[in-house]
Amino acid sequence: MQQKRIFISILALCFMALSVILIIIFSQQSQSQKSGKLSIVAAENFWGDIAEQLAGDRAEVTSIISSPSVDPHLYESGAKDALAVANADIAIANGLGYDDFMDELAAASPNSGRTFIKICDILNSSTDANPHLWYDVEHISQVASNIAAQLIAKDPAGSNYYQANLSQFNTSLQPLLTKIDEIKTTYPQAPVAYTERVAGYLLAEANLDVKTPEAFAIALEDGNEPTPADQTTMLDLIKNKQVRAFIYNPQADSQTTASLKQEAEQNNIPIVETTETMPENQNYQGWMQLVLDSIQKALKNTK
Amino acid sequence: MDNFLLYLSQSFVQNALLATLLVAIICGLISPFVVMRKMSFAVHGTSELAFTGAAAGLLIANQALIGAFGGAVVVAALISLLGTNERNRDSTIGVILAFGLGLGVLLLSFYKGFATQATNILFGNIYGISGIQLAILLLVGVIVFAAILAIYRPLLFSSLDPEVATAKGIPVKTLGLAFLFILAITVTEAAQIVGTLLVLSLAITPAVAAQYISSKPISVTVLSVAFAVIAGIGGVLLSLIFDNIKPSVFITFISFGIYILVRLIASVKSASSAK
Repeated sequence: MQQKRIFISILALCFMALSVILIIIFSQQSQSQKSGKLSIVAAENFWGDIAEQLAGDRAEVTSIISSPSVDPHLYESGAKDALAVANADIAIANGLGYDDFMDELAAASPNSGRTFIKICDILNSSTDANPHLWYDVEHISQVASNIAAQLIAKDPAGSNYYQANLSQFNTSLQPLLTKIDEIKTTYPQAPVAYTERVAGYLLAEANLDVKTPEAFAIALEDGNEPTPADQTTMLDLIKNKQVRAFIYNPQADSQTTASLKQEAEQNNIPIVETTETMPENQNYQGWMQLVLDSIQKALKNTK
Repeated sequence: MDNFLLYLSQSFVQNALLATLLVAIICGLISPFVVMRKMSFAVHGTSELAFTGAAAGLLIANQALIGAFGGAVVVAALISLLGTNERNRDSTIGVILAFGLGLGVLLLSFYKGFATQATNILFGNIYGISGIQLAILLLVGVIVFAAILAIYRPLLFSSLDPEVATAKGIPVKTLGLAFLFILAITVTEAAQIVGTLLVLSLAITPAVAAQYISSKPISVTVLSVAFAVIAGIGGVLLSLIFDNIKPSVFITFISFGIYILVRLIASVKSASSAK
């Protein structure tokens, strides 16, 4: 008898809770908050930073993945992030499978007033391209003008302001392009190795010769194990000092990469760290400058 | 609290609540059978193997969801084919699980793109459920619900006492097979949407807890559904109030909390009745 009573009261509680929830839900009207500013949400902090530089104080920019210690591949959306995407005027995603959660969050909150920018569409990347598009420094101005155009479309009153920010941004890219040119002409086809394709676009633009087997890098990016043949190739490259820099992603550290890094240190091959997300206290240009500087330094000290 | 009401007005939150409710009801419903038939490892195995199905689906049709669905059916068929009796079923699942995960890694290495769709299955994305996904979940939910109701009595009988059930002419083997398919489909669909972690805490824990309160099969089923719903809905709501913490954390914690609470009550009760 007592059991039955406990049982019924638990059931009753359960249904009461449920009906309260349903009543609250359906008594709420969908409301969008509007402050005067545009609201922009970017999947990663580097795209958020570029958007912020272009939009200045006419927009509120939120970046979902911003900590360099978080692996973007293992991400579950919290309510805050989902709300930011739901109410954004402009949402920015990298695409190419790097941040599928943005498509999911956008699909869960249909909003005809929201512009969804995918960087891979701006750059016309093929679906199996290297997804680390933000290291494609030579094409960043294309991304910037596209974002600026969307800002102007959403907020025509700020047109001149956005235009000015865009040209300022493009000017600030010049030192980076000069640096790429310098590396390209001073160290043509210098051999390097990387653990992941993170800096792939930048290395190609600087005319460096990546010796790493592509399957090795892709396996590590996907969290898989590279084949023994590819691992041997990598180890030989380092042991025989056939590369002048070992470029590695400290954010996706594994046993394989750690032991290769150790091997590189023992063979006096300079280590270049290229993180996947932008370090805190940096902006996009400063970050890329650091990466280029450390590549240049590595090549300067080796033959 | 202001934010809480704002959240409730958002479609992503409403989708999340409805999806969680559906998943919790179906999981709570199959949970007592999982426990009775000692099939916890089958839940674990099929939900992990959603990864392999998703990888195959990505490779063949660029569709992780459909692949996972097909994979579930294949896995269920393999388990029933190779695991001929209860004693060797767990080890068979272990064998299939190991091979299946290896196969998934192989398939993924053929896939050129970035494979987050397949590897995301561990956590799912409760706040990223679209209307279409909700509809798929509803459809699967209705089918599973109807199937369980249709075979409830004979399945219960054959789960409790297979020998007597066989003697009475109940098709024990066919029922077992049917349940295996229901389980695989439920678990895989739920894993795609809410993640493997949550499936485990919604499909196993509730019935284990319910068994400490009642021994009547019907009340165990009802309690198990109630516990799963409390954990699921409660977890989502808490993650709206403390919005820095992910919903799956709260759901697994509440589910485990109910289990601990129920065990404490049961041990206090048995101590006092022993006196």
